[in-house]
Amino acid sequence: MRYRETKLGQKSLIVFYYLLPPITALLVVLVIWEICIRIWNTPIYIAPSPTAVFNRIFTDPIFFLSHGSVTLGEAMSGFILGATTAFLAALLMAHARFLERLLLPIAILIKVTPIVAVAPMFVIWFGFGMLPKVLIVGLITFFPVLINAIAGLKSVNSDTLDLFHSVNASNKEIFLKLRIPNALPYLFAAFRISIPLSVIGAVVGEWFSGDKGLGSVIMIAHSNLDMPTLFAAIIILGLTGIILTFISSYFESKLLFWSDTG
Amino acid sequence: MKREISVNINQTLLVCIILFILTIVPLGCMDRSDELDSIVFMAGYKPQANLPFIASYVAQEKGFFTVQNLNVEILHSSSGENIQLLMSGDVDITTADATTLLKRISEPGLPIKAFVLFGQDGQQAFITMADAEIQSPKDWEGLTFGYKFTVPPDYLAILKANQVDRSKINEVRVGFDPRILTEGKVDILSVFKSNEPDTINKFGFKVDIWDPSDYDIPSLGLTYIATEKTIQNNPEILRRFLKATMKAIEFIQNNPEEALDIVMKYAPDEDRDHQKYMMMTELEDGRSPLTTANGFGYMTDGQWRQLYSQLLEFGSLPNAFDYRDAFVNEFITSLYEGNQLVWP
Amino acid sequence: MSESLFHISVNELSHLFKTDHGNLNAIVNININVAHGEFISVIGPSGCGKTTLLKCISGLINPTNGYVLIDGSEVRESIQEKSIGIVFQDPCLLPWKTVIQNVELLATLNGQNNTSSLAVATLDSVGLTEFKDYYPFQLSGGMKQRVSLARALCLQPSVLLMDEPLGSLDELTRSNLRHELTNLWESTRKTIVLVTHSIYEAVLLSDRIVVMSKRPGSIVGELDIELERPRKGTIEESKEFQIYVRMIKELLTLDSSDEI
Repeated sequence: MRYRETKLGQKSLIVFYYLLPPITALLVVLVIWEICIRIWNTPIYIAPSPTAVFNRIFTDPIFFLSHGSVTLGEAMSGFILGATTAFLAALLMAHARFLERLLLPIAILIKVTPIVAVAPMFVIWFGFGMLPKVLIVGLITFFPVLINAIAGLKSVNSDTLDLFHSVNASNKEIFLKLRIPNALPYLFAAFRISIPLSVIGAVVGEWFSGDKGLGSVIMIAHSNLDMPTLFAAIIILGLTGIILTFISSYFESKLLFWSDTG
Repeated sequence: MKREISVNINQTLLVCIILFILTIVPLGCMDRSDELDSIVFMAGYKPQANLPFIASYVAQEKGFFTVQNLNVEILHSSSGENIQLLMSGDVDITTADATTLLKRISEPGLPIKAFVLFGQDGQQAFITMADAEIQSPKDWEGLTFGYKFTVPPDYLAILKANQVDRSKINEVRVGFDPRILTEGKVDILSVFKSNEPDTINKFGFKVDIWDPSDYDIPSLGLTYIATEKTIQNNPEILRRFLKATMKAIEFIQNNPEEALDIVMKYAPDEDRDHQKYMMMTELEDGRSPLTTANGFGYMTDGQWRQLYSQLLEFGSLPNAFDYRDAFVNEFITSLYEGNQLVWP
Repeated sequence: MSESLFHISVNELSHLFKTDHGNLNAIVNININVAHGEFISVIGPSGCGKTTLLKCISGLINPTNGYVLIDGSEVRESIQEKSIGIVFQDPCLLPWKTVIQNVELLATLNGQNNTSSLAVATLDSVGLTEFKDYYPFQLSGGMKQRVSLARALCLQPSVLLMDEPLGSLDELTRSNLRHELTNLWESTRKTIVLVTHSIYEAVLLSDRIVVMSKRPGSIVGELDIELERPRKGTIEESKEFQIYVRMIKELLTLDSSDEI
């Protein structure tokens, strides 16, 4: 987040510039939603009103917090697993063209396999706890990070590369001092995609086994036609995704202040 | 010149109007609402050989609906939206198992009722691997039990009936994949009698089936349900629908292979042997001394009361209610003379 | 003249690129000798292979024919010892490093000692000391190019190779930097090979101009520039200056087959 120069130059105005518009839009949506439910007299088991949903959240916040933290834990662990593996794989592939030709088709295969086909087998292989969910998230986050990391590692300015060669820099030095820092903006661009995906992946993983986490809550609420709980879980998930993205953007602006994206 | 043109325009306009009438009127007449009543029936799962589904397929294919002056659109649900669609009015009749019906009336208080009972004995059961040689539910202590959404009340009833210590069983929510049992991830699995045991047999494994009814635990199967509104405002349509489907049941009992052919028409990608197993299991569970005496689909006050009491006892019903609000008998009883279906 | 007396000696240099569309002859039979402390410019039409020539001299490209000697030994063999300073048209600064870190970088990779104090000194020589902790995104184009120059100088090179270093700058900055370049040469007397497409620039800065033909590039002619050193700004108005410019123009319009 950059500072916005206002006439008064006050930092507090940043909050208004960045937060007020989306919050206002959200409030407008909620008001319209509430009005529609009331006008059409929609029964609660078809679609709940915002008041019903917030009522559900605030009468039992611990419920949502504890399940939310489970899902969050799975999402973050899986993301770290997937992103780290992807980065290491990218390093290997950028180093040797042959490895890229060998491994990239496998990565593509992983990407196009639908998670819902694979998830039941994960439960069989890895049990009912957090592990299958973490692995699913890892799989989902792997591909975007891999592709972007490879692009970032390879896309160094050729003149800059020539300068490094002109002083006979070793391959290792070129990777450490040129390719990897160059790849950072690409990595963070991939994170912007992978972080919401990691939350979705954790939720989908939870559909298939276990009774912890917001995905399980959604499954069970759905089978009970408990719409307020279902919507509440969805909203909490949305908030989680937004918060994670904000955190990532913060780190991005700190680390990548020098780039166009920071 | 001018007059010619204006005459041409008038002629063209006239032709257009005539053509318009000629196309619209037949379209209007094609709706034979004066002859047939249209209703929408939604089966509560994908196309397969559950008895209430087959009844609708057969009634459609053999023309029983037409005989009853009904134009029935058969739909299928995939993820349990059938009850919501029933409530929104997009669907007139759907299926539900008796336990789910009672739960929905309890919470969130849906105004729905069953008007026929397909399963005198419910399909909820539990299985263990035969080679685990589990002798009785008491042996379940120390083992892992897998269920689909919530802990089934029938399971709790079995535990109680056999004085099993529940705290010694590891209960986990698992998916729908029966391999969870064959791979040894759970020891006991919650299943539908008419489904998973056969599937697992086909893998080459033998299972022991633990049926709640073996322990005198009340259990009812699938029903057709409609909203109170439909029952009040359109009882005749429901009656005719029921008559056609009960005729279909007769047909299925006498011509199982042909009935199966019809099922395969609706579910071409399913395995025929497995569909046959499903059909025959549910047919058997649809019959009891009650139906022998009164005709297929018959249900009693006592059956519903017992099921209601059990669900209430084991905490499956958040709110108590008058169980008699859950079903309506008059349609099914009006169809039979003794145990013979009056047809047409 | 024997080859060992020259600082840079380019001999029968040719280079062929293999592309998907067939072979591309970039340069053919280039012979150039550069004495110690000489400032030469290489000028030619677009695509004539000036950049290829420069890369062969620096050892970045292994030519398909011929060889380049620096101080008598082949460039490719002794690339580590021969500190060759290169400045491209693109300043190529690492955006995540400060100005002073950028200046220091190549020298450190080259294994030199005391690079930090050297970097401070070279940055000072291009007049950017107060910007040493700035980041490249905070600098103008001209400033970035000066940092690039400082970085090359930090290598303490005997040879400075520059490929259209002022090409992407505006007129005023170019003018200023030209004067800085000529002052730099005056104070250090390094051997400089400058590739440019500006005749004016070549005449202003160099002792000698090598003119290349269009692709495949070969030498059309060479011209010694015997204008008074140091070259002051007013020199461009002199008659001799104008004559040199005209002569170069004529050489440039000749076909490669018509050699002087």
